[in-house]
Amino acid sequence: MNYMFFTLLFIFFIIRMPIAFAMGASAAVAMLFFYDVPLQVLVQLMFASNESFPLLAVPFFMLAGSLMEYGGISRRIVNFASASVGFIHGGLAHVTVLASMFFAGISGAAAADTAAVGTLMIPEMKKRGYDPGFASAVTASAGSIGVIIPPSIPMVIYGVISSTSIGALFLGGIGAGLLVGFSLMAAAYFISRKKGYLPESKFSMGLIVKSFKEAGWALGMPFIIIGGIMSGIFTATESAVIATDYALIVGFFVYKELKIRDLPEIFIKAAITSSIVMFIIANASVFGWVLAFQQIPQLIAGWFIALTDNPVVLLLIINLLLLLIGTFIETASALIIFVPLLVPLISHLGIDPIQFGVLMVLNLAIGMLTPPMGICTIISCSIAGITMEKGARAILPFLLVMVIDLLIVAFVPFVTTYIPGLFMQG
Amino acid sequence: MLIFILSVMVVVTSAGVFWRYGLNSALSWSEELGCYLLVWVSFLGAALATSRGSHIGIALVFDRLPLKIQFWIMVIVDMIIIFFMSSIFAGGIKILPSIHARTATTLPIPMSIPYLVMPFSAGVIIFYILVRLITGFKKRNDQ
Repeated sequence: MNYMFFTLLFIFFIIRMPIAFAMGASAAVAMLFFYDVPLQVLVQLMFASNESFPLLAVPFFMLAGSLMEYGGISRRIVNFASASVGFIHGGLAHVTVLASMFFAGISGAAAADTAAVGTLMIPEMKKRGYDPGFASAVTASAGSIGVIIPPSIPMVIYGVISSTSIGALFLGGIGAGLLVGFSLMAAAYFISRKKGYLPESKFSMGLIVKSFKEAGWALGMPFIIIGGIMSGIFTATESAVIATDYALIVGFFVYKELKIRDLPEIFIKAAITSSIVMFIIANASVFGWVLAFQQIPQLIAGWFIALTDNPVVLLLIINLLLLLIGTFIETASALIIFVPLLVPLISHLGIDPIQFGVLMVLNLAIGMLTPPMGICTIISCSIAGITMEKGARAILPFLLVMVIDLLIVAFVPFVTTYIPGLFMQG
Repeated sequence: MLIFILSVMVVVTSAGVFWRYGLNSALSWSEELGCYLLVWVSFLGAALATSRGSHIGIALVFDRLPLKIQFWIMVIVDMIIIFFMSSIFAGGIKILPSIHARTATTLPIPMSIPYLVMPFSAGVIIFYILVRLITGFKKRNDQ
């Protein structure tokens, strides 16, 4: 039965059935034909998986992100980043990374981050004679920070499934996100030196101050989100809805670039992108039910423990597994299937669940860069107008840097536990 | 309709936060209502995403197959999705009478109202896919 179930899923994946339907349909076949589960249970499982207050953060963060994009906020962030780091060798690459980091503090999805910064920066880099492959690689790898620096939709999902504090996960993501951002900038610096990409502008304090003032309202957003969660005033969902309101107010009344007639399109777009994630969650929960029924999590945990009882080796193996999963499976489904499987194992090893959450999200963020399911690379390549093969080759040095960051996060708990430790007891 | 529900969701949750912190008296029903609205938005949005073909799939192998085979594979995929959605539709209808007797925790509505979205969205997905299949076959015959 087990083999048949997985074979069915694999066939569905190969024939390009959408992932959500593939998981749901293979689970439905197992439930209806082999376990005689009534149809109502299927419906109840799907309904219950979406009926969750923490998950309300998903559509709200999507909505806040696209409101900021339409409201002229991403352009101001890019201007500020440009004044701050444009004077370094390979200036535009650094601007891209820094702008993505700021944007990551606003949006919770890597795809949104890549698209927002990429549409502005990739054409600019091509104009200045940067190699399109390099431009696309910088944008994609910087965009993946979108899920590491809070807010982060994958962290919301991890928090819901593993019942860890979403606020603490967000705080843990700050250290890891800064680490990834600065190491990507270092990599971009060395590549730019070698290829002879020059600084964009002279360092000017006046320009920094001026662009900071213009971007001030946009830059205020991350502080509202993170500040609200740190001080324990808001839950993640509440901060998400506040972020949405804030984006509406800034877009309409401060920058005045948001138009009423844009709203239906923004809302529909946000509703569809969040539904795609939520529908995957609904189907993955049915899938997860079958896995649990078959006691597959216990089986796999058993294999792991039989393999070795050395925590360091085990953590390395888990990372390798997660990288592999991230390459082939989309983020939300990977979380729903593997969090219930791995978290008991992790607590058995004495690893902090917050640290592991950040680690897992970082792993899957790397997976967003690697084809076939590398959503960030797909987006940045299509903006740069190059093939996936070319984009994938250019991304290799950045991928290497991120894997090093991953090992740091895995073996230096300080990076992820220091900031949450400051604000949360116990 | 999707726009309307999402807007109501923003208003209701904002109101929940405002009442709790601004007026210091929590609204008991805003969280539950927010959750049901989320379910509605999610499944209706999933139906709309189906009609626009924006659900994510793995195209690695598929894209390398000849067009003729691609067409028949697409037909098979659509048939499987129709089978799956029909079971959701049937289950969703069957569950309504028993769930109608239950009332939501903080809202004065029977649980059948939030649950209605399940058969409804499944029905819409089946409809979209049938339309897609029929237009696909028509196009093929025209060529």
